[in-house]
Amino acid sequence: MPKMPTPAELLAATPAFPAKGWMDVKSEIRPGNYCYPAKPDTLLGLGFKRAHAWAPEDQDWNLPANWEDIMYNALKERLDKHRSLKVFMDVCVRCGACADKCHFFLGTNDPKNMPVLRAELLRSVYRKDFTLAGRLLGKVAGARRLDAGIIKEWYSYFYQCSECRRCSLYCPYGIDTAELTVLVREMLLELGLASNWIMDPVSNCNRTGNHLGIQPHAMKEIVEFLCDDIETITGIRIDPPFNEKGHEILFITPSGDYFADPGIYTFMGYLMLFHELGLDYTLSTYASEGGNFGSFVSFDVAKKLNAKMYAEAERLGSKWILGGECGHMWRVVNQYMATYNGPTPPNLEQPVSPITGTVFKNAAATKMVHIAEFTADLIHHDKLNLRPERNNHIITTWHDSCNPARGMGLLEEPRAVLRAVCNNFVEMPEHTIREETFCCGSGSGLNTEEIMDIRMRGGFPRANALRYVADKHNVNWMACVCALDRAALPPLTEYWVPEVTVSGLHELVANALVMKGEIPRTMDMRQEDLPFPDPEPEEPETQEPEEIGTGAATEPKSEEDA
Amino acid sequence: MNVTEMCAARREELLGMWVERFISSYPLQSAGFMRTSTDPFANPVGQTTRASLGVLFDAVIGLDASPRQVKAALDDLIRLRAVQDFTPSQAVGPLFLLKDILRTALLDPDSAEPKGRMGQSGREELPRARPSAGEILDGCFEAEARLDSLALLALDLYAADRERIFRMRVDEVKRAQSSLLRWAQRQGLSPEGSGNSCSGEGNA
Repeated sequence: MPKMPTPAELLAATPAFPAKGWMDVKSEIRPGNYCYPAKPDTLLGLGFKRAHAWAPEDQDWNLPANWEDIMYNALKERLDKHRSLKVFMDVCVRCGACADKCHFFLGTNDPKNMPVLRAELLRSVYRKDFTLAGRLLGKVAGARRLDAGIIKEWYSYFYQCSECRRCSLYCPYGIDTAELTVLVREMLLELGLASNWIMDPVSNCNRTGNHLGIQPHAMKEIVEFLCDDIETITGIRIDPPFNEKGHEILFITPSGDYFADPGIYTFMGYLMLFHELGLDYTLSTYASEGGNFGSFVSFDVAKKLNAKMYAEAERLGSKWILGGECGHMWRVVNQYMATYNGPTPPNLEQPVSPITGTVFKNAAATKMVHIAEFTADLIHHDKLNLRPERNNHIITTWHDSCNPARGMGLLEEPRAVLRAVCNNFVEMPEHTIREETFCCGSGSGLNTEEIMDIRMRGGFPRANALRYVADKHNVNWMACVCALDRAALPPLTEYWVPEVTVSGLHELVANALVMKGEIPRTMDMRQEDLPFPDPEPEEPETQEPEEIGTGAATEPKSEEDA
Repeated sequence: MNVTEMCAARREELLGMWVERFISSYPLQSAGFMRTSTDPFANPVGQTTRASLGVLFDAVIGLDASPRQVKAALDDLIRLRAVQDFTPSQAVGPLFLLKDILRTALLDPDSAEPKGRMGQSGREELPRARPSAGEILDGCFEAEARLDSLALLALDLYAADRERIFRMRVDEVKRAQSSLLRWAQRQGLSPEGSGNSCSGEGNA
């Protein structure tokens, strides 16, 4: 009769991580480690002819009969088109500098999440088909023949890379893993394999303009609700212009800011800031998604979605584009936009702040300014009346979002803004911020609920650093400048550091912004009571004459309201 | 010398063996890195494991331990392992492996405590009398009982962590379209929008 095993025997008997080499370890596709596939209709609508129904857990993914040829040609075509890819395939010396820099490796400790090994998943196939040594020596030269198992492995592991590029920072050759990831996802798309969370928004942005596919009338009404909230909080009615021609500035932000909590509070912050400045701007329902979901999976799709920004700026006759708080939008703008869709339409000019006269020379090529740059410039020139005391209950830290930090060097501007609007600011530890920032773990389209576990372990290094400042300095807030972060960090903090609230930068700006003619503030942007409400009005320059004398102390005022 | 003191005297060695059992649950290629890097931010999994097990070890061997601290340490450890692609038994199982480690260390007559340690006074301390076999056995049972309590607590924490994950998945979907749900409600539509869809998809 068999006996019950001891815990040691039980643990030893469960399939541990194998001692075999990585090439001999087949990837397992099981719930929780793959993204749900895109619907065939969605892909067909975008022109991907090989879209088909398939289920990740099925043995057979219904690949086209000649899928091996398709993949060979897809790789060949990309090697010819992207010289960077050819270099990345050949130049890696497997020094391992990248290995422990990846948050997915640090969180999962799965060797295939080392950037070097993730790239090797493709590189081994490249060697077999495109190098002499690989052809002759095969496995000895690190080459392997493409098979259906490898396709599954790619779908699993290249959707466990958030394209954050932290590894590239440490790579002595600057191998850009994000670019490799995009290219492999692009190749998978040629077989009709893609994730629903990415392709649905791509389709919606392509068709309607924003990632949820909300039609213009509904979108406008949703913004009106947000304006209702602003009126409740500040007593000021704002009526933002939509799709109007002839305004100086076209404002484009990720559509998550219109629809998703807590991005909406940041969006309200933009509107309040623009109103206070009297900015000559318009919103657009067509170019209503600054974020570029296409950039996660395909350079061609990214180009197509990116094009609408200039098209709309041209149609509306704007002089320059102000962009909201977003992450990958800015990597696309900084690194690819000029190549994709340049030169800019003739009506676009080098951006100049109408308030301070600052010429944004950094935006000479793209004609697009990040709102953190714009607001930092306003604060630098002392153009805003701010009352940071309203944020005194907040001890905030700053999460450098990967793309603005590493992709465009936006490091000081948001910090300058944050310091001006919040009296308590604590940095997370060195090597976890600025260029070395840890990703939220959900970038590049991984922000989907079915892989929540993967996201939690991928985001653990970020959360671990946050946890440190929360324990040591009582940090209770984390601000950031990326819409995906605003979606991805709330669950991350809820799991790892529940006492921390996540917000965008301009939500805190809006809390602190003293607007002309506003009522004494008793609520923050989320309509929660301010622990340090405004005192009885006394600054004459911020008060309208009729309000003097009526503004009682906060408590009686709220009683009146009640 | 009692069992608690015997274990405390060999803390680093025994704790190291326990940590090792946890780290062996990670892949071969990764485990080396987890052992060698001591930066809590560069090696968060390894260091969280090490720090938590340190607190738990002291509690198990019978040193004074604040329940709050012990629970926090266990919480850190289980929260991490609950999302790391382990089965529940793999996630909490290595906790039990301390039993073997302690038994071997205490009951094996050859593995006596280190002799001639330097005391705090700077003078060499004489080795103190080894407790009787019965006393050791009693101490061992007590330590194991404390470990069992930790394991029960770990079960609670693990279950709570998994429930949190599933709740977060639902909350995230709601958050992602919060203003849309509000719009639908004002239009008199159910949140599912079964009647008059406002999305492009519905009109396609």
